Amino acid sequence: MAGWLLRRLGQIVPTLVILSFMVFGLQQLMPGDPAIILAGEERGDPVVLQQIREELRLDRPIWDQYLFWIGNVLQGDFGWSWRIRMPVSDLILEKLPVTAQLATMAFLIGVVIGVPAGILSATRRDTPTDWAANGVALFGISMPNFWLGIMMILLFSVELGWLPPSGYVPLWEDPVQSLATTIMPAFVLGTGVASVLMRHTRAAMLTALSQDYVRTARAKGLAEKVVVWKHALRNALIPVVTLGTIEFGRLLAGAVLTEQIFTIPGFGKLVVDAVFNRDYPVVQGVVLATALIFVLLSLVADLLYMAINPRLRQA
Amino acid sequence: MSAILELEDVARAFPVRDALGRAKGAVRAVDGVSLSVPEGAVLAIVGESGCGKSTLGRVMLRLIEADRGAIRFMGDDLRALKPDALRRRRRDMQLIFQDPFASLDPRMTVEEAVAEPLRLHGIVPRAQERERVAELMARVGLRPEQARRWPHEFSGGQRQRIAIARALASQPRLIVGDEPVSALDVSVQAQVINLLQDLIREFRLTFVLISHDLGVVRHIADRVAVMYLGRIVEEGPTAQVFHAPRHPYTRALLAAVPGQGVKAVPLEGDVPSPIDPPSGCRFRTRCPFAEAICTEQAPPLEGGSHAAACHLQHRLPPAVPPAEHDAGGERLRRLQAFFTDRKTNNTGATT
Repeated sequence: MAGWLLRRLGQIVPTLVILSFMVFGLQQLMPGDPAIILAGEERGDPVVLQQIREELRLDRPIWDQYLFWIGNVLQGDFGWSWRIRMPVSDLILEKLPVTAQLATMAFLIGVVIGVPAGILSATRRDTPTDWAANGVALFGISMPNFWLGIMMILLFSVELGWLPPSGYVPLWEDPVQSLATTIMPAFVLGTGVASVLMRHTRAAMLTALSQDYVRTARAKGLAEKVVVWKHALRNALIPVVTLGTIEFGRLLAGAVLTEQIFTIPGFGKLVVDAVFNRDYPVVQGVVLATALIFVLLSLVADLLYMAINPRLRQA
Repeated sequence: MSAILELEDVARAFPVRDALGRAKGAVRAVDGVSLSVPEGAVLAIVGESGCGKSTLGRVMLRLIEADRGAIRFMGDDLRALKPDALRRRRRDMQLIFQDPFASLDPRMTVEEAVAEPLRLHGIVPRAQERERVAELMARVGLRPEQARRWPHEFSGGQRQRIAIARALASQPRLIVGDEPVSALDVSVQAQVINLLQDLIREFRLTFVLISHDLGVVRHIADRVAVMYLGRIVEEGPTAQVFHAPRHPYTRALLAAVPGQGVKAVPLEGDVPSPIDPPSGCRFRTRCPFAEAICTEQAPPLEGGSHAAACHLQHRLPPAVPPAEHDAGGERLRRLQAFFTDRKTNNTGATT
């Protein structure tokens, strides 16, 4: 077990290294010269441009830039934002709680809707309940988030005036206002998660319900409720838990469009703004941090999978 | 012997749908079966795969609902029981499945799986649960200290022993075994059959054995019912059915077993579709003796204690008597004898 964990942690390193190459390399393909953007009014002055390039090491070969950056990262220094003049790590720590709050709320909404809907749909297979649940799930998967977001703003903010259309208040400043500003984006993100979880819960439940051990449970004389909840669901949830963890990782990686629409200052908005400003250190730092979170969560998914699946416990 | 379980004209069909979900017909898996299971007897239901024997086994326990017919179990009309009463009744009727890898909940330890019926039906006080589980495990040849393990830690034979312990836990009167040994290795089969035979005797169980293995059936069954396309074509005491089969299908079935002795014309063609079975006698399309009447009328199952559903049963040429040599059964008996000697210490390690 300890050996497995070490090996698994070891796999994270090459993943992140390859990823860092890719982020760094892709930025070079971005049109536009960061020096020109940063120079602003003085973009016509070659001396200023040269000065900026030297300061930001943009005049060096790309491998040199990369090694300088990754060397600092390994020492815990993600560099400074070119634009905001703040350490990138501070920016990340500032935005992370926002995205974490949004992701947690969206995830809870997704689980609370998706899992029971999947169970209901499987136990009432081929009934109107099942068709309705499947239809709604298909809608939830296919519907673009930005469209649903705009529609919700139109209804709840513009027409009914119940919720603020955009902005964000931190949870510790004003919990009620904080929930009011995040409930719509969380719902928008949660519908997607709910749809995916519903489809998978349904499929896993249908598989479990057709197993002999479920027949055995019925033959024992157990009530149908016990058969479904104790025997079928406990087995069906094994893959769903893994999937849910990965979905949560995706939510934590930030929701670019949704955060943009609701102007939530989370990871998604941070990285989009950074891309437009050619703020390379921020883009690199956020992408790397997101990747790390995602990789760690998939490790958590594996651990959870082992914890709830007796077959893998001593493997 | 009085009947513990009686079926009367029981039928069950499964609708078949095309890709768009439109009804296309129905598979008549069980189509008018009447059968009586005497208390304390081992009744085998044999037939080719797809003949409906597994469906019949489940219908008789009302794990699958019948479309029509009557099922009487221990004096109750099983089909009329309310859900609560049916669940209480389940204590007396248990099931053992073919695949021991699928029939145990992978997220329950052996102890939990065996204890669940004890608790559900209040068989023993809670304090004695663990003790009873240990007794049951010992009885089926497992070490009681293995109770805390998970199903995946056991071999197929051991898992089937667990399934048997689980079935015994509620102290049932009737157990239906749906191919209980056919997923196991031959040597393990013999051990599990030994075990089943012992348990049947010890607990005075009534056992319905669903099997396609005539060697096993011949060995442990008191009575045999032969199924073909959802109907019983012959039913009678095992020795009589094996030595003097009265239905052409039974003859063909016996002839297909090497060393079983009965000579018969080999069957031609495939089993007709159960969606659209032949008129009259369902076997007529493959029967070497078929006459006009076989197309016109479905033959009733008649003949008393050894009955057959064949218009020509009294006019058939005599079956060639079976040779004394009986390879399949002989091998099984040798294996059984081999394992009987060491039954006391065969707990687990070899299965």
